Amino acid sequence: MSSAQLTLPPARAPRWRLPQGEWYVPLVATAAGLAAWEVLGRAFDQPWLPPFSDVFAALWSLTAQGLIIGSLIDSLRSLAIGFLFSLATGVPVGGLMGRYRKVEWAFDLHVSWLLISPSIVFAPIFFTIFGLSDATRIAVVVLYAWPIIAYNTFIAFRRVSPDLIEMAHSFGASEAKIFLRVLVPASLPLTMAGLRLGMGRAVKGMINGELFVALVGLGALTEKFANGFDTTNVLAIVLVVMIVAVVMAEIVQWLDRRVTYWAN
Amino acid sequence: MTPAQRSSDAVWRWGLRLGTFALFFAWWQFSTRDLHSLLLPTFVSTVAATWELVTQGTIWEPLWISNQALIIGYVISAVVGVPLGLLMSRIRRAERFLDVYLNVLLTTPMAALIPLFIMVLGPTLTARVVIVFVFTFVIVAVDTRAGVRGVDRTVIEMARSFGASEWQIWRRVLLPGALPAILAGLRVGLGRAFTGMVLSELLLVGVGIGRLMLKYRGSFDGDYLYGTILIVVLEAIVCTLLLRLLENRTLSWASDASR
Repeated sequence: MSSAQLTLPPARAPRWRLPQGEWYVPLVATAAGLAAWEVLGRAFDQPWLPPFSDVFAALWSLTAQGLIIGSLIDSLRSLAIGFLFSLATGVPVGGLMGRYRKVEWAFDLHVSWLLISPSIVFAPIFFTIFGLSDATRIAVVVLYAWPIIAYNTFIAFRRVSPDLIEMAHSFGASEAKIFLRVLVPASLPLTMAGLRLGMGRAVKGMINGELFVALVGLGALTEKFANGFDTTNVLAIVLVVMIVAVVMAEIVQWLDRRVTYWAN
Repeated sequence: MTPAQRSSDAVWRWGLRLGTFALFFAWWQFSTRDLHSLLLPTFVSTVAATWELVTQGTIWEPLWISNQALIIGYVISAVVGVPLGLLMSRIRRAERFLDVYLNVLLTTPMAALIPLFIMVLGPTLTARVVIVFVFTFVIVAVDTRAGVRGVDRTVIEMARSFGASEWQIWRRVLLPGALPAILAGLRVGLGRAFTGMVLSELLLVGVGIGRLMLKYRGSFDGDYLYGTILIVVLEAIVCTLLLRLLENRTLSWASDASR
């Protein structure tokens, strides 16, 4: 389709046009959005909509004061622990569920109800168990990330073609070999997709848990500024949270490409 | 598979499902029984408290207050999200610019914005509705767009070459084709709406279910706290299952229509 169109000269040459799907489209869109924010902020002059430049300046000074880095490290630590725990337990459980019916029946309802329920509602429960310790926030991260990771891994293992498994069987492969050489590689793309979703949810769990416990991390900092009705600083933290979310998603995506390059 | 095998499978399936639940409840009961903790109730006392909350009616008013924000916010999300997704799927140029923002909205934890909404709108129903809305509408729009895009291009072209108007293509091809994704988006959105509802009440607006939870936590009524949470979780599960039921019913005719 597009190649056929390219060979024909355009009926009326446009004065200028953006090349299709080019890298700078998101940049232009972001710049336009930021400019609009700046203009609207200055025009309305409302306390709840400070112009972008003010927010950026606030972010700068918060960083210079060392407030951001400390909270960021606290947040990222609970994110890392929670995500790695979900990875280390969710993938094996999901994989075994996909391979063995009986494991599936033992866990499928639990994975489903965890996936359906609004995870944040369990935060008060973790609070009663772990108190104000880091474990409460880490547990919230796990509750956000674990079900989707386990579920996607389950689906990934279940979708591996039975022919592959049968062939490995008939060539005398042991169960361990079937797992390592057939199931794991064949399920990897979907499992990685689960990890990507899991990371997205983990970042949400991190912020939600911190907002609830309100003791350390970016969430606590947000609460602190919000209680002082300091919109500019709240938005500065929101910017940091956005950047964290995007960077984390990129990291998992990069890992995905490294691990599943052969699948495309 | 023989009938005997099938029935033995069913026994295993439900035996294991119920067995793990029973195991979990037993573990909960025995690990908390000797603690006599004020905040860590046993399984039995949690069930008793849940029963009491429901039968004595303590739960209904807070639940209704919370659900007002949920229902209004969710309906607005559906009414805005679906058309927005449809629009984006057809107007490619606008969509390419909006894409960045949708991605950001999709990946950014909306919870970080909650303090902002409360500051602007105060601890009102409007604020809670807006919070539920921002939690929900993005996924509805994105899934709708994905659904329309997923419709086989050759079918659209065929319809066009048979002289179908734009309206007919929408009604007969695009909407039925996108329906599974739209309904899936609405279902996922419902889960997010619940999160938004609970978060807004737990964090900043002391009303409804959130207030009840914080009250029970403050007064060390662990069993009532757990009971309240159980009821919210059950509501979320029941609503999602109802939507899924609707989805299955709708899809049975939609798959005929799109073929």
